[in-house]
Amino acid sequence: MHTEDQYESWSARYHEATVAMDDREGKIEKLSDELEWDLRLLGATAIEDRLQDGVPETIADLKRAGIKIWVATGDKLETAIGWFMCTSPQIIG
Amino acid sequence: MGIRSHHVSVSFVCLLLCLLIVCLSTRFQNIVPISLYISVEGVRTCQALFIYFDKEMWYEKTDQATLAGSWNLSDDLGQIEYIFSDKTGTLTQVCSHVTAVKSTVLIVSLLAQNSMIFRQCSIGGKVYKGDPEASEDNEKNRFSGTSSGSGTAVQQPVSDSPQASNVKLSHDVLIHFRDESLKNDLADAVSADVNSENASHARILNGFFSVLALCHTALASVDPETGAIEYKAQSPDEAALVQAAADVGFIFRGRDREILKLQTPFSQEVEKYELLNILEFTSVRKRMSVVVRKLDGDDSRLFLLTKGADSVIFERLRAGSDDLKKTTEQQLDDFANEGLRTLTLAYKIIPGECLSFVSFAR
Repeated sequence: MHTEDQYESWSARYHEATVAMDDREGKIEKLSDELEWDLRLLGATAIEDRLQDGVPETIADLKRAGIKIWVATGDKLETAIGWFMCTSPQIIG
Repeated sequence: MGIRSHHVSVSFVCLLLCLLIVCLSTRFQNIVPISLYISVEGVRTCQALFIYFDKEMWYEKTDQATLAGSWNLSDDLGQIEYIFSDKTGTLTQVCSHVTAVKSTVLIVSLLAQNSMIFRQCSIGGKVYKGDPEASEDNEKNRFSGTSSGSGTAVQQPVSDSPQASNVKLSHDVLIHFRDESLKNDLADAVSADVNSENASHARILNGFFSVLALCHTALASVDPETGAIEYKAQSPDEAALVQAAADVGFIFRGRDREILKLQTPFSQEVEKYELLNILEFTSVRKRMSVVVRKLDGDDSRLFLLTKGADSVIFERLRAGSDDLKKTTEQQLDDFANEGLRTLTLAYKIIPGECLSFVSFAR
């Protein structure tokens, strides 16, 4: 089958890229871009990342003590803000 | 006379004191600092002991006291101005842990406890929010189980969907996902005629949960005694997703070399998929894909199943069906505003797009 061959050749090149000695990430990125496009949307999921007990109170206490808090997160900005608003609205604002 | 003698004696005493201090400071120069160090160390030991025995700083869940790893830190603690924390423990996956104190900066890991709950999903533009009361019950079960010291995942008591009952809660996942309307829609989908108007939603439902159940790197371990399946994944997110798919009936049965086994409500037998490729998740790509081929069917097409951050998925969607994109985008924003972590799912059939595939590859 025509397209199957095409996939096979892509697969071979992808395998080559995964074992490449230099610029592996760049090559993988380029090859996966070839395949991952023209997608059909299915839907979305939403997962809650549960806080430890007492985190909002602790943060409020630290805030009262004049300590500044920075939170590092890999989530979207909206998620992080929403997360803070939901868990401890008294902190922001 | 009295005043004068008093004056003299005061100045005399002052002089004597000064002399004494000079004498002592030269004489004890070598001794004083060392004894000072020793006494300060003694004080710090006492401080560490106070920290250890502080009832207010007892971690009940693991029955553990605060340990002062370094005695020198306690006097720096009072000067902290900034606290840096990572939210979900991607740096360290243990309990809260003070990783470093550097003059005025404290670095703490893990505000969140690394336990995931699959809250909502949007499938083909329809939002399923999960049944609130069922989840509360499960949560209570789970918490009472933990506090009584058993600590292990509580197995779901007999549920109305017999398939899901033999899937144990994964370690990092708190509750099962249940949704009455989703169950009804799935039941409709199973019985739907190919040509009816339900058919397209049925297809999307099937696709959505197939992606959840197949596009991951989790392992399914089967308890030899009870036959219960438990998922073990690198990230708790992934476990929660596979778990959620299993909860609605799309049970990932494990991987045997390159064969993925999936049980779905749509067929009695366990479906088998050949795993041809995994395009791994990285923080740069922000997406993960698998290429699979369905075995034991006349349909030998290749499927690309993808999940990833909405920003990268949306820019890779095919043109058209703008309504669905718009509603899904809106729902994603709603999810994010509630503080939920979002993922977008998509798929494509590889032969179907062969011509454009070639042109893009060039």
